[in-house]
Amino acid sequence: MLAFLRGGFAALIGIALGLAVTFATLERGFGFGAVRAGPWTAWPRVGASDIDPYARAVLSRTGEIPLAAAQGIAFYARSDDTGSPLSGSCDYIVSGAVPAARYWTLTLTDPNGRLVENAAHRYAFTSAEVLRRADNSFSIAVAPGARSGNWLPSEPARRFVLVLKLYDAVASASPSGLVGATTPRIIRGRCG
Amino acid sequence: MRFRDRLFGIIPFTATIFFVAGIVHIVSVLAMPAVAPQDAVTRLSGAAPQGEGVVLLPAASPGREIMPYEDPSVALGFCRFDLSRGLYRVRTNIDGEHFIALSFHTRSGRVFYATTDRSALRGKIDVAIVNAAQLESLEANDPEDEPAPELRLLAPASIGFVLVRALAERPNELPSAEARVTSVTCAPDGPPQS
Repeated sequence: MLAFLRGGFAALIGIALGLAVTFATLERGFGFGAVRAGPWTAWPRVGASDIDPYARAVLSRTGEIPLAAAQGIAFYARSDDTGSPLSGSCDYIVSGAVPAARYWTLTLTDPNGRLVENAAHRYAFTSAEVLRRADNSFSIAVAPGARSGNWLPSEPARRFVLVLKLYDAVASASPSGLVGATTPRIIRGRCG
Repeated sequence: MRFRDRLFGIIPFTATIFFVAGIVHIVSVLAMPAVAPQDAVTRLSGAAPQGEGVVLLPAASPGREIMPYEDPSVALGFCRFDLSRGLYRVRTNIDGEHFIALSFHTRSGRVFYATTDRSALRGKIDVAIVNAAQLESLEANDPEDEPAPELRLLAPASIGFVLVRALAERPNELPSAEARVTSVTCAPDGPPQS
């Protein structure tokens, strides 16, 4: 009788532990196959037919439909170049090279992937509309208060995520082409 | 003696915990696509009534997103297919200039094929989604020495959806991107005559 109770107790702890591990792994993004470039992370296999069970589980929970590998790829940044979390308490400058692609878009969302309401109705920039300097380079100011030039509004004092989507990306078909890709830098400016 | 008893008592106890935890973890990860209440198909179906042809989704704006990490610069539409009602044709013309992308998903959201206007042939995308039997009957009716008029896509499951993405390079071009989405024709073909 005692052995039976102990067995049942062990099974209950096991069930709780197993569910806790599942929850913890699914909260951590798409798991395997992440490609990092500076502050940006991409999961190239999420849009491929050989997607792993963890990524499938994450997608079915969030409802996100990722870009297919043949169409492009998405990079997500939750922190700046120094590794500090992106926050609406600070100003940032996003500038530099973007991996080769036909188009790119830069979108600001909250940590759950929702757009952030703002008076300017500006939620994203595309490669076609971003204002560029004479040498074709660009910089986008990400800040809660209005800026001249390319301004992507963030929500004051709230964490946010920057999503860089590359459409018809040259390297998206093979994950190895993304390793060490030159991605835009995210430099933190004034906080306060 | 008592120490040894306790040691032998605790090993099966912890082994049971880890064994059960491992099974529960694997099963819960694998079962997630089947049990998750808010997967992509559920969201798509909730966003627009199910009908024939392509369904345009409302443009992404704060509080009105259907899926997380949606691109507000992209017009989205989808078609649901059910091969038990015959093969399913997806066609669109390409202007060669503007980005339009089609991805083919099973019900659980897994991509089984994707293409963009860049890889379109002869200015159009022309796809027939088929199961093995439908593919066979199509091939049986093919004229000799001629390439198939369309791309035939063997679907891994009989129910799924096609997602259409058209990029608006500037915010004021969103209506024309939406027009490109709705110009995609999706329709089941009647049961093949044989």
